[in-house]
Amino acid sequence: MSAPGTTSRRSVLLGAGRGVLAVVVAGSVGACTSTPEANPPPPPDPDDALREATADRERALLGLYDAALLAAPQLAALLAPLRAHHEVHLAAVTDPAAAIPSPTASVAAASPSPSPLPPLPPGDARAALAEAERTAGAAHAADALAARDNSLAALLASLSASEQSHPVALA
Amino acid sequence: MSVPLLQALLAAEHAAVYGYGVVGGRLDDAGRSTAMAAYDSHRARRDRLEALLSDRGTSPVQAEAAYDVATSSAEQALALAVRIEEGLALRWRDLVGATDDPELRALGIAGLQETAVRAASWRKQAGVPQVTVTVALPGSV
Repeated sequence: MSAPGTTSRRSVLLGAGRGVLAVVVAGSVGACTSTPEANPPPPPDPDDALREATADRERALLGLYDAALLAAPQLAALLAPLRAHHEVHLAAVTDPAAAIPSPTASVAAASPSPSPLPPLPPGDARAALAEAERTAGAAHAADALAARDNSLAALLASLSASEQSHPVALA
Repeated sequence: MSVPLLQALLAAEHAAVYGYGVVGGRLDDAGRSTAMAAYDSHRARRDRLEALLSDRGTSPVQAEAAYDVATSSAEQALALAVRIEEGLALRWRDLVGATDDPELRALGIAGLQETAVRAASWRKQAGVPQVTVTVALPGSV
């Protein structure tokens, strides 16, 4: 029964709290990875990054359409159906089960966000959107080539083809 | 695995080449010029598919002597052009969804893009409602 020993143990526990915690965490991680029966975390699916990048591009396009609708509301009849396609695209890459086009519902739901923007001449708005569509379409196509899963490749190819066709409507 | 898909695509391209010959004859000068550009593009795709099939030791499917593409007006010709492109879009998407071969996948992506753009152009020329000029998921039924 030695007081110095007790003190020493307490100082280790209190004074080196972070170190103890680190050991505990490291130990539990080690236990998980070293137990064959435990389910190891699945390796990240490289296609997930492609889905996320595609979703980001669709969100960016939706933002551009919202801005254009706000700046040039007289283009609503032209822009709303195209914007609705991007809603379908976003749903298709974030939730494949939702990839069923419902243009009428989406058109009705389309509403510009209230961010303040300078007015935009309609011609400029159309040209800017067409350029953004082509750029996104090319990026979708590159990701379609890179996809490991064939059905993701087919979906991204279809999204790419849709974006590439939008400038026809915008012309 | 890809040979039946390539043969189906080739058969559709044979029909497209024939069909655009009919379409061009029903349109005015501007429309005919667009139809001839599409005709050339489909001929190029046809030749590429024939080469791919020959490379795989397979006899490319031959064109039919004639196809049922009777049209009697510019309106019907435009509708035929849209049908040709929509039918090919389905097959190009099928190819992308069924191959790991980078060359075939790239070909399928480009084919799907081209058919979607041409279908939109023909729909617009046909004066369809704005909401149906383009589609959300080309190559899907």
